[in-house]
Amino acid sequence: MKTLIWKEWREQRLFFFLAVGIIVLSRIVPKLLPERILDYETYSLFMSYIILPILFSLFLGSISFTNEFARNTRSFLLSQPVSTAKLFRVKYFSGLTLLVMLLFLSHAILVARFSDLIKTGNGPVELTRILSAAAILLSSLIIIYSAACFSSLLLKNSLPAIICTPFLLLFGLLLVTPLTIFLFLVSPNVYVFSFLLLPVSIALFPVFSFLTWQRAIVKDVSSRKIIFKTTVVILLISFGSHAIANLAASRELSKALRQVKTEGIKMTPEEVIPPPIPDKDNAALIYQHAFDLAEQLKNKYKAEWEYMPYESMVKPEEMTAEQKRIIGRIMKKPEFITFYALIEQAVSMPACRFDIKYEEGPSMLLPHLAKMRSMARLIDARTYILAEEEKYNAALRSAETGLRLGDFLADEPILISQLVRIAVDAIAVKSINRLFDRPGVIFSQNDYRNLISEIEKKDRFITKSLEGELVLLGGWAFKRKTDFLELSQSSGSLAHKTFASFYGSYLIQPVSKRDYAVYIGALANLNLYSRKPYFSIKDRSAEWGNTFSVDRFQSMKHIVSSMTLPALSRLIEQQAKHNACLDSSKLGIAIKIYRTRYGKYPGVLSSIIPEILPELPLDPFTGKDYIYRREGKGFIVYSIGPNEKDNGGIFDGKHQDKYDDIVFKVTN
Amino acid sequence: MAEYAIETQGLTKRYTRRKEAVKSLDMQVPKGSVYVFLGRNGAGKTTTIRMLMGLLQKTSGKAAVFGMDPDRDPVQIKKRVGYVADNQKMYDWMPIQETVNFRRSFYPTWSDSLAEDLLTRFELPRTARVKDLSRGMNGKLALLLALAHQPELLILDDPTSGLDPVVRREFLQGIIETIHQEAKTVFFSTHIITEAEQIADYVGILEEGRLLLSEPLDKLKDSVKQIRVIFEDRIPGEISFPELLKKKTFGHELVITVKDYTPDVLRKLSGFNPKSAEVLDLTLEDIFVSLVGKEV
Repeated sequence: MKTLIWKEWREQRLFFFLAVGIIVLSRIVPKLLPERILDYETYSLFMSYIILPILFSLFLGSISFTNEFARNTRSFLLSQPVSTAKLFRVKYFSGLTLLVMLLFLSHAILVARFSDLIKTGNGPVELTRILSAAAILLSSLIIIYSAACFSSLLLKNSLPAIICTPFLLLFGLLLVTPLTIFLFLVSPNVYVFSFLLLPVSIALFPVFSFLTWQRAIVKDVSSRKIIFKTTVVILLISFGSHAIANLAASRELSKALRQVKTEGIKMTPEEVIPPPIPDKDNAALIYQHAFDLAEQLKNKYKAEWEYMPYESMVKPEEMTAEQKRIIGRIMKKPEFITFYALIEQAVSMPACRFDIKYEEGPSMLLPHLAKMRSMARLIDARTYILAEEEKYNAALRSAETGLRLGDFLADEPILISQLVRIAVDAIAVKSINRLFDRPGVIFSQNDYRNLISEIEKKDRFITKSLEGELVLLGGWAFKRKTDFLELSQSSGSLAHKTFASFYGSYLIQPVSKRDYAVYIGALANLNLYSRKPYFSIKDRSAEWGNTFSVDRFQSMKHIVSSMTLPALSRLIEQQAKHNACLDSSKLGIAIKIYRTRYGKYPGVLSSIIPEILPELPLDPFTGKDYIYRREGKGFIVYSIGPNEKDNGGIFDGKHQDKYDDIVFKVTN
Repeated sequence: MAEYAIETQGLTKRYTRRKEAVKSLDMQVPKGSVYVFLGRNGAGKTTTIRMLMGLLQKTSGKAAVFGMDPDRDPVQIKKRVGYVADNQKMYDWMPIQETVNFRRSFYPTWSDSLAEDLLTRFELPRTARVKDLSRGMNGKLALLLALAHQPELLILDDPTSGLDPVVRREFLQGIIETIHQEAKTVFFSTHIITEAEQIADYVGILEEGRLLLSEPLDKLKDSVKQIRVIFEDRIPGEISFPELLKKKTFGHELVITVKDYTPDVLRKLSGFNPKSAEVLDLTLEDIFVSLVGKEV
């Protein structure tokens, strides 16, 4: 044994000294160059941890065996009465030892900052990071070294062996990848994963090398056969485990799909995308005109827009009488009248389809949403100005138009559209509240009834958008039998395409299928929650949001879900807020009706049933009646909001965590 | 205890489906004998030896060295065998003394005195590096390394190839001297017939992977004979019997080579009414040539 090690050292010491020379040179040479040409810090890290180690592993791996072939001493070595396995071990490990020594040397000569790293860092945390980085570096170098060994045993010549090593590494990667995915899925955390994966990937090439040595070199058996057999065995293990993972994932996915089907959730783009309508019924075409016109107006009246109520930074109550007059005047200009007439015409149309390219998945453009919001504000501004001019009936009609505006987004099966709809409704309701709050503003019972029926017509659920989210956006990332993905690959951005094709590739399938199952399950649950009163599922819905971002390793297993779903976790709350907003204003209007009938506001809320409203809506955050009381000359009706505390009917946009009551308040 | 130093049964090596290097070899090398394995270059000698040393995977059949399977006990076999490979290359950067030390470390039975003795006898300069040695010296060093651990069996694969006649003679002398002092078995592969004749107790003749015969040399010379048969007219075409190895015709003259010659053969021949029949003795070279010549 000693003799063998001595012999290996004698044969490789030349390379070793040469390598040491190279390390020393790479230390000296940059010092001779002016500093601005080369950043020594980066250079030394790069050199001592990447370039030199890789070079050394390649060379050491390829020369430790080829020495025997180059000088034809193989027979002589093999005829010694030593087991061939031992010969292999001595050769393999003496090369490896030299490699590790060279690593230490290059570190010591080029960097030499272990103590610095530990001192500057936060103690043990930093130390574990250094150790794990060192472990990763060392394992990858062992893999490269072993691949070079294998390559040299196959080619029996160092130079071609070095050239071929990268290909062998790729080959090894192909062999191990399916197994890696399996191990990834079964590992509960990153430590177990690396504990399982590292030995497998490190052992791959030594096993190949050893078998090639024992059979091809020692016994002169054709190496093709050995490699073929070994590869088949490894492939069987690797792809076998992958296939098991894939099968399990498929079952999970089909279970999720079945569940969704039994719950009647729409699962195909055809079901989710709203059917087209004839142009003559399509409000979107008219809105489009209005959008264009609004743009023109905005450009034309740049100065006035600075204090346009609700559109600008200036609050309406801060506007001077002069500014109000100017806005009132431009609103009477023909183009403004045309603009508002267009919107009024649009809200009276039966349906609305904006031109949305749903098939583009995440890259679909939704320019109309921002514009719809802007429309809502412009209507709000008009309502305000008309009320200022004491044209209350016109103001009421304007508010009504605002109330109907949001409904045109109800058909769009995308979450953002629904969120914008909620926002537009909130603007409209606020507008009505402001109008009602004006002293002496009284409308007919009919007018009030109209408003209530508008509110009652509204779609209270976000379910449709969840289905759209499932099919059109999240589902986009998952390759499925529906050829929606193929369709979308023709468009969409390069990054999306790359991700989709990578995520749809066979190897990733166990992960993507599981991810999809998780995604479907989560959306199905959310869909379920969205149909129940908020207060009854509030805890579960909060929990739901947490399940996707607990731990980084676990969330990697369903990466699309964990990227997209947490954003939806406040959705149920949003829906509840929307409902509270609609219902509090409905109650407010009903109370106004009571006042017109009886000349006073009711003492308790239940006085309005069944005469004015058939039943009282419940506060989604408590499941109880909305809070109602008379305040001064007026009244207040409100939901206590997401924080579930009665904040005395106060809403403060800047401190929403403290004051988040959803209020309809009239002071006279 | 096996009675043969080397024994094979149906030993076969097939490199590719077409190319069979060794075909069903049945061979016994008795202990204490000098067995010369004779064959032309490429006949399969080295292949056979490498299989015996566990350096080559056999395709089928059995091989045993001291009763051990070379595929299962290669280390034990290598310990008890002194092996000189065909054109053996040693580490050329090592000086002779270091090569000897290197080899020595593997063998518990190594005899320093024998090694010293051989170094002197072979006139090997201790400090010379292997790469500076002549072919003769290289061969001698290989022989020294094969002998110094006092093996029971020497397997020499064409050790004299590439040596000039004078050196070859010297080399053989060396072998003969060393081995005849003790009861060693020698398995000596060569393509040079005169070498065989000088040292062989047994001769095995290998041609195209087939062992044509394997016999003691003196018995071989007694049993393989040439018979010159002269006919009156045409030579009858149907002459054939089991002992017949080869036949050649020159006009009315038929020259046949037979193995296992007995007077019985002559009696069989007389059945074809020859004019005369004469039995001739053969040298080993004649036997070899008549055996490996193409026509039969």
